[in-house]
This record gives sequence, structure tokens and C-alpha cells, in this order.
Amino acid sequence: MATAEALRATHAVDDKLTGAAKDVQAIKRESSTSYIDTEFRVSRVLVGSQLWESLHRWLSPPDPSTNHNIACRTHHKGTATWFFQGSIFENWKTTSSLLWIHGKRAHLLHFPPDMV
Amino acid sequence: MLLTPSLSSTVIQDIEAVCEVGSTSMSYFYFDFRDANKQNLDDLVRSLLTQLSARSDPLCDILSHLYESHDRGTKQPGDDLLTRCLKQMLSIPDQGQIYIIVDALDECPDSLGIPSPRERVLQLLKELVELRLPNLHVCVTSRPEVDIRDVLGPLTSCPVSLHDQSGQKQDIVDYVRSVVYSDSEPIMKRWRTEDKDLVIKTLSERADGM
Repeated sequence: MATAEALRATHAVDDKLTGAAKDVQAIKRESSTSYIDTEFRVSRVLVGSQLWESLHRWLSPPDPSTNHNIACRTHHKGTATWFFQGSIFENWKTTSSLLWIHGKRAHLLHFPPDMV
Repeated sequence: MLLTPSLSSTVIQDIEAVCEVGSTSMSYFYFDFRDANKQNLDDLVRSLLTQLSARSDPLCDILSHLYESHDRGTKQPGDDLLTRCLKQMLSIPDQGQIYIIVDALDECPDSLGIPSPRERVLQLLKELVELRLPNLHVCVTSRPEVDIRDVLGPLTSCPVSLHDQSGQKQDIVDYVRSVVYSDSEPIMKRWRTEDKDLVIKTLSERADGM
């Protein structure tokens, strides 16, 4: 009788140990996966930016931001508010379409020599 | 330069603000007759491709396929492959809104070859619009040259003419006045008031035909 009880107790302990071992395994698996995940993401970001730099070097495009910066500097405050407050611009922003703005380019700062 | 580059730069700034908060993307290009690297279809497309792919992994992947297929970048792609790549990028489903802004198309030469550089750019713009992508917004500014009007006119429901706008004329008057009366202009500072006013009047009138 006592032997049978001792045996049951041993089995119970055994089961618990097995369960604990499984938990440990699961935790190990999980943590290593998330470790690998993090590593993977970091390396992907690195590869991404390195890749883009290679692509950029390969295509060597002209840099339009230089023109943009000049245009921003020479922009006269308040210019074209009629356009930006109007419905045409707002419609273009919200609806897929082509907006063609045609006008003249005025070099107003370049006066002919006989004027100055 | 006052009119269209200024307008384009403001359009770009406006869209840039939208890009910061959402999945919206934008790329822009300024044609420039003073810069030989900013006058051809090739220049435009290379610039748009790199700008678009800088912020998106899926678009970067498309460009990297082109790179791989050119022996890891040891060869250069032709215009046809570059434009095909651009269309492929724009056509990826489930992207946010995409804005393309092209300034001063008239500074892309309309001579030098058949078809001319400008004809080729116009053809690309036509093809992009005809893709009828629901999220693609294209803005082009230029002088009202006949060849540009012929292609872009039919593609747009509402072309904006800067000459017809009284607001635009007022902008020019305000601008000329601010320059002529500016303290930082040593030469004009010496002018008599009636001369300054004559300059403002004359330039403002002529702006309509400049």
C-alpha cells in the first residue's frame, strides 16, 4: 500500500518535472526565435539602406533638391495664395488627376542694363 | 525666377507636409536649361525612381531586380527599362497616394533629335496619366508651349493659366513693388519715387506679355 502511494507520488513528481522541462524548452525556443527575429530585422534594415545606396550610386540621378531649395528661397511670401486657396489645387490633391499649370517665367530681378 | 518654380516649390512643400503624417509619397523634378543633367527623360526617370524607392521596401525591391538583371549594376539600363520600372513601382496595389511634380517642362529641349527630349518626356507623362491609377497625382508646370499644350491639354480637365488669373497679376505687382522699394537694393534705392512707380507700372503691365 505504502509502496503504491510512493509510486504514485514518484509519477506525479516525474510528470511535473517533464512539464517543467517542456516549459523550459518552449521558453528557450521562443527566446531564440525572437532573438533571431531581432537579428533578422536589424540585418534587413542594414541591407536595405546599403542596397539603396548601391542603387543610388548605380543610377546616379541628378539632385532636384538644389533647384527646390533655390525656388523656396526666392519665393515671395504670399505669392499665389489665390491658387492654393482655390478648389483646383484641393481637387488635384484629393482626386487622381493631371494638373497642368502654364505660365511665364519672369526674370524680374534681371533688369536690362539700360534700366539701371 | 518667379512664377512657375515658385509655384512648384510651394506645391512640393504642401505635399511634403502631408507625406510626413501618412503613407503618402512624393517625388519631384525640376527641368533646368542651365544644368545639362536636368534636361532629359533619363534624368527625370532616374531621379523619380531613386526618390520613390528611398522610402519603400517594396519599391526598392523592384529597383533592385533591375540592378540584379544588369549584372549587379555593372551595366546601365536603357530609357525603356527605366520607364517600365517606374510604371511597375506606381502600379503596386495598396499603396498610399503618390504625387509627382515636374517643374519647367519647357526647359527640357524640344530640338536635338527625333523624338526630341521633350517629346519623350511628354510621351511618358501621357502614359503615366493613362495608367489611370486611382492614387496617382501628377502636376506639371511649364510655359504654354504649343507642343506641351497639345499633349497635356487633352489629359487635364482643368488647366490652370497663370495669365488669366487676376490674383497672379497682383502677385507680380506686389513682387515688383517689394523689390523696387527694398532697402537692400542699393541701385534702386537711389531712384526717384516717380521712377520707381514707373518701373512698377511698366513691368506689371508687361508681365502679361513677358
